[in-house]
Amino acid sequence: MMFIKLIRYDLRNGLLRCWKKFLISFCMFTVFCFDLYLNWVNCRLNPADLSLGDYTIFLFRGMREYIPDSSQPFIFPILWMLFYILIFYIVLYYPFQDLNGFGKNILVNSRKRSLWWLSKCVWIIFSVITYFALAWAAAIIFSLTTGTNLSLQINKLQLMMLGVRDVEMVLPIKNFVGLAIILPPLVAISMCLMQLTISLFVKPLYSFLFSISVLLISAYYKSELLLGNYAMLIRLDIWSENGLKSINGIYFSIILGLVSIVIGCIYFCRTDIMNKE
Amino acid sequence: MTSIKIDNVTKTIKNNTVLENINITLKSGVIIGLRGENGSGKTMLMRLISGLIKPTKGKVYINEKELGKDISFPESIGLLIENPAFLDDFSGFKNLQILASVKNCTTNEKIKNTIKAVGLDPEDKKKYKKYSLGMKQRLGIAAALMESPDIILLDEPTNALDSKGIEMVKNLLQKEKGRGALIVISCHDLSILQSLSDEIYLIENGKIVNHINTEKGEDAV
Repeated sequence: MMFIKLIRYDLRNGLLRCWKKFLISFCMFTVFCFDLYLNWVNCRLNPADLSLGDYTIFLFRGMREYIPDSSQPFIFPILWMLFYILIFYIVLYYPFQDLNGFGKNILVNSRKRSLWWLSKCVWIIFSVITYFALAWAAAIIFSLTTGTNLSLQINKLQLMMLGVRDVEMVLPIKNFVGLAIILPPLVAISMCLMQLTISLFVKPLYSFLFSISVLLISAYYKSELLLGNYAMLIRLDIWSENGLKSINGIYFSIILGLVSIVIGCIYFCRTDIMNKE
Repeated sequence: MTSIKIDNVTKTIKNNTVLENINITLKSGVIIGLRGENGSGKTMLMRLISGLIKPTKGKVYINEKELGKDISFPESIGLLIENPAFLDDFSGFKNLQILASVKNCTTNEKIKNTIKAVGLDPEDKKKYKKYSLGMKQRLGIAAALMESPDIILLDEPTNALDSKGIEMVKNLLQKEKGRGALIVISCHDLSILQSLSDEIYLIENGKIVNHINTEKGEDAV
């Protein structure tokens, strides 16, 4: 019962503090969709051929594996990184701002440190889901307003533009839909929980920089041990046999998320509650 | 009957000893004053009693239950530590209602009465962010008192209050003392503390250097 009260408090208070950031995110997603739309117009293609699936793959595609070559400089997948950096930032400060202020009284009143911590973890999961729901909503609204269809079928031209070499080899659409809905938010939840736990040990700003570093290194190195890779749909095994196994990404995310929650809980129950910048 | 026992507690933060060999036993129905300069350890001692920080050495018992082992926080406590902090976009009443909803051991009527008692209007719809410093302080005191807790910790409760406000704090604390609460307040103004407290502990560099019983007019080390 106490836990439910704490969750209700966090959902209300956390969203109240972050709603402007969510609104900005929604606008940013719309700009991303517009970017794809313009790409097609500039390539003299018909944007009416685009679908919701195309917008989705455009948002979560990431970049192909980078093979260092003097003739091909490394180009950051800016749009993909921005997408994840924004959610890392949205969930960065609320738990500690709350702990430095009103939340301190709530914590003492709740009488259990572990419940307070778990409530913040639930808030993070809820926030990430809201963030991704807004991304989908922006893509749906953009599709409706531009007259594109709402199917999740991906245009072959779009796949070729993304560098999928053998378009006919692509697995059935249901695989893509399932992964596009599950894997990117799962990776984001896991990384946000890890960021929250690291923030207990160092300043939140440093843990934020660490999360960005994981994304950057993931973009540079294709490795099963770098979680960011699983958030790039284009590197997964749905497109090629050499792709990263999607199921490993799901396991990796769940394990990292759970480990972060447990380590954070143990540490929070033992640590001094002092004001944190 | 509420009791707090601080048993030979030392607290070190980043190699800096902020509290050293503190031994205090407190019983309900008294007002304890903590006096010391800024950084002397008054707030740390309050954080320790509230369960927010843990001793490096020694133990803290609340009603004979060890803090941090048997209980995470005192079971019935109201606190105002450092500056009052509330949710900016809600009124004073709404803020207290949210806080009270966690424990669910007080009524809207009681919240309204406490707000009135600290000199604020419970029907005032003004958002907290528009409150003056004095109003914020009054609301902070109301938050600490509204559930009639057994232990009340007030860190510099007279900050930002005018003479009328200080008088209001005195009256409220006397009432709380009368119902048997154990009250600990900190202040660096000795005259205010003397008029409020039954006992005063003087703290310097994390150590208790003097203990004054104001009722008996005694000075003791």
